[in-house]
This record gives sequence, C-alpha cells and structure tokens, in this order.
Amino acid sequence: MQAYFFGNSGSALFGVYHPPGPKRFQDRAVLLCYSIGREYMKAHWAFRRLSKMLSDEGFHVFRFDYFGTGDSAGESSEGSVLRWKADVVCAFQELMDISRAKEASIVGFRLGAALSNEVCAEGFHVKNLVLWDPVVIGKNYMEELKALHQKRPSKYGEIPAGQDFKELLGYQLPPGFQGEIEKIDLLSTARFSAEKTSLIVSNEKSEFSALRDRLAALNVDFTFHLVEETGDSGDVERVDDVMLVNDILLKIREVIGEKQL
Amino acid sequence: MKEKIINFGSNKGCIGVLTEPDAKPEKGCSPALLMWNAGVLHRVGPYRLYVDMARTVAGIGFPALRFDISGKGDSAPRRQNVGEGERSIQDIIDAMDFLTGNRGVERFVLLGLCSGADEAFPAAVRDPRVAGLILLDGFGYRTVGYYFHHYGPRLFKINPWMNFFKSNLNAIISRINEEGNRIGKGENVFVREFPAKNKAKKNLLSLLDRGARVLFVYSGGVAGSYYNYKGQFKDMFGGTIFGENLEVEYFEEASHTYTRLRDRKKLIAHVCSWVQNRFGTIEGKKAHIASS
Repeated sequence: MQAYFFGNSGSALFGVYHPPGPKRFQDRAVLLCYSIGREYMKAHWAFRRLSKMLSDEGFHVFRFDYFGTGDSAGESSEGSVLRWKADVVCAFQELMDISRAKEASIVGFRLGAALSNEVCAEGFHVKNLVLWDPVVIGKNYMEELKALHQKRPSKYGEIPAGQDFKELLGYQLPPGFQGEIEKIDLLSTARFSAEKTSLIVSNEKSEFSALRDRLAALNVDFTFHLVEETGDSGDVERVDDVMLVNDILLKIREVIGEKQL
Repeated sequence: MKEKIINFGSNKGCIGVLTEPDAKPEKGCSPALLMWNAGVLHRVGPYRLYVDMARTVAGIGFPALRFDISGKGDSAPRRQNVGEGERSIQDIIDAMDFLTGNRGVERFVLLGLCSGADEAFPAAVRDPRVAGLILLDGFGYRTVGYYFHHYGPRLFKINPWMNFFKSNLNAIISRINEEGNRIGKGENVFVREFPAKNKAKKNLLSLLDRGARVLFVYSGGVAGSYYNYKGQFKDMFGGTIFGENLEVEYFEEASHTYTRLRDRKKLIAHVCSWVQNRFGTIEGKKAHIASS
C-alpha cells in the first residue's frame, strides 16, 4: 500500500494506492470514491478492507480524500460538489497513470456514487460503475442529514433558517453546499454511460427502487443487488462508530470481478 | 506549512502525516505534537479535529504528526505478539524515534483523546523525551462532588426516583464504595479501564517532577460517566499539590468528540496557547499574542 499526495501542488489530494496481489486481472483497476462528512468517517475501515479484498483479487486499487476532507489540502469550508467531481476525474487519471491499466471500474459510496456517475458522463470510459447506497435525490439526502441533526439539538446545535448554514452534524460546510447537493437527481438528469452499472444497496429505500426502474427504462446494462448486512453497519447516531460491513463488500468484489479480458 | 506522508515503525507499517512549519525550527527547540487514533477513528480525528489541530499548531511554529496506531486506520498490524496497550506505546515510541532520527526533534508533546489519552499517559511516563502531555477526557475518578452534581438535579424529578428503586440498589451502593477506576458508557465513550488512582497520582507526580508539562481537558461529554464539574480534578486527588506545570480545564459545553465547530475552535485555540506558552520562544509568544 502506498499513500501519497497527488494533483496540483497547491491543493494536493491524499491518495492510497493498493498494487495488485498475486492474482492478476489483466491490468484492471478500481477507483473507490468515499462519501463525505460522517459517512466518510464511518466508511473508512470498510474502504480499507474493500481495497485489500480487490487488490488480493489482482486489481490495482486507488482511494482518495476529496479536497477539504480527510488528509487532503483545504479547509472543510472550501470544498464543493463541483470541486469534488473534478477530484474524482483527477483521481481516475492518477489511477490510470500509476497502474497503466487497460480499463477501470469505479465504486462510489453514497455521495461518492453520485459524483462518480457524473464523471462517467464526461466521457471517461468506465468498465463497471458500482453505485453503493447512492445518493439518488439530493433534496432527500439533505432532508435526511437535517433530520439527524435536528434530532439532537443539544449535541449539534440548531439549524438556522434558510440555506446559509455553515455546519451540519458537526461538519463545517462549504458555502452553497445545500444548493449544490439539491441539484443531484439521478432519476431525471443523469446519464449512465459506464459499460455496465451495478446498483448495490443495503436496504429497500424507495428511491433505490426508483433508480432501478429508471436504469431499466433507459436500457442501461445494469444489475441490482439488495444485500442486507448481517454484520454491524454502525449506529448512525454514534459518531465514533464504524461500518463493520462484510456481505456488501463481498458482493462488490463479486460484481467487479465478473468479467475478465 | 507543508505536509508529508511518512511510514515508520515495525516494517514501516505505520502511516502518518507530518505537518511542518515553513520556517525550519532550530534543532532541538520546538517539540513536535503527536496525535493518533481516538477509538476506532482514523488519524484525521473526529470531525477532522487532528487535521485542523496539526495545521494550526504548525502555523505557530511547531511540527505535528497525526498517525494511525498499528492495525487501525491505514496502518498495518504490528507483527510482534504484544498486547494492545503495549502495541500502542511501542507505536508512539516509534513515531518519536522517527522524528528524532529524521528531523532532529528531541522533545515531544503527546495529545490523546479518549483511548488515545489512555495510551498517551503510560507512553509519557515511560519515555523521557515527552516534555508535554495533553489528555482530552483522560483518566478521572468520581468524587462525592460528582454524585452531588449528578444526582442533585434529579432529586426533584419523579422518573429518576422510579428508576432508582427499580434498579439494583446493591450494585449502586457498591459502585459508590469502590475505588472507582472503571466507568460505564457515557456519551460516545467506550468502557475504559483507568489506572488505580494512587498509581495514576504517583506517575503524574513523577512526570511533573522531571519537568513535563501536563494539560488535562475534560468535556461535558463525560459528565454522565466520571467527570462533571470544574474543580473535580482537585477533589479527585485530595490535597495533592501538583504545581504550576499541571493545568486542568473543563469545557462543559463540549461533547466528548467536540462535535460543535465552536468547541473544536476553542479547544484548538487553547491547545495552541498552551503549547506556545509552555514551549514557545519569546519571539513566538510575542507573535502569538499579537495575532490572537
């Protein structure tokens, strides 16, 4: 495993490259895209585990922190959805450069799924786009986050009226965050241009079913997998919990490894 | 300020991010601040606390290293068969060895939150290079005052009385009577084992005797577990005089992991002031006062 900074020197991103293990998949690579905020923290262990599982299968694997998150440059208030999309592109290019892989897949978790789909739409050839519990409708996502926040005002504080709040669930937000998130709508604006799309979800949320129906209506080559985790997916209330998922990681590995050159 | 990723320790399996001030400090002068995993979270800390702390501390001239203990975050497991407590101490010592060997750093300030605090204390006691220690929700012991602050407000509410009689009265009495080095779960606090009070006091005094500076910061997040009023530290250790190199703060409004941005900013500002006052150069102190 090699951790290093990449991208522009003034706004370097933190990345971790996992070289392929003994089994080789004919130069295939996988980019992992985190979510943000508390979802990023909770998923870190799962992403590390998934990285090892995929590299043991012979894939080049790369995961990274978006600008203004994790160990990457930038204050927490400086990121933006637009910037993060650019970071996914940068990370994808970095992965192709260091791996010299012939093709790459992307696994995006929650907001990372929405961001990575937008990247596909910009012309990069992606073998398999795995949408893991994706943020489908940005407005709903904001409402979920705000509902969690408002459940414990003594812990998180009150949310000010209007859209100009700077802090949600303890995390400092960039200006205009809510507006940018609310523009995400995989049901109406998104194109799905990866060679194959895999929708892997951990629960039966109605918007996941709606996304499945949309993919079918668009004649996208896709598969749908509902994987109800038997492990501890982490108490969403406890900030210091992590997602101890296993079944869903096995499914992702299975889906990514399906086709070989 | 510049950041660099480093690998160190057993088989270079530990990973950390070293944040260094732009101006290279004089060799052996500024101590380096070390931070590592709080519970199971990786090295960035809860709400990116350690990233912000490291960058702010480097901004006032002190290098800072945030790293993952072996087996946590991105660090590989340690290959030697040692217990978890000893493993953490070894990793901390390895981190210090790296900075001593590669950067000429001769003194260190350890900052630990929760489990990190439990690891920082024995590491500081063991290694004389530790010149400063910051324990966020470190060890603590209930006092009579703790129970007064805890139960007092509940005396006039009916539900706590009902719960009191429903619960195991003997268990409550024995908990009051015990030495008090084991706590139950509070807000976001795992079950932790604190050292016996007399041993903690002895080790703390030995740290202070060798010239180390120690800062305890307790948050309101552990009020339900073991610390709930300003002045409790003094009561915990009776009339023990620890001297001016020991400082205790109580941030009652803060949660255990400093959830609110305002609380993190307050904590970071306090830590920076403390580090500057205790370890800074005269020029650095003047600059810090001018900028704050």
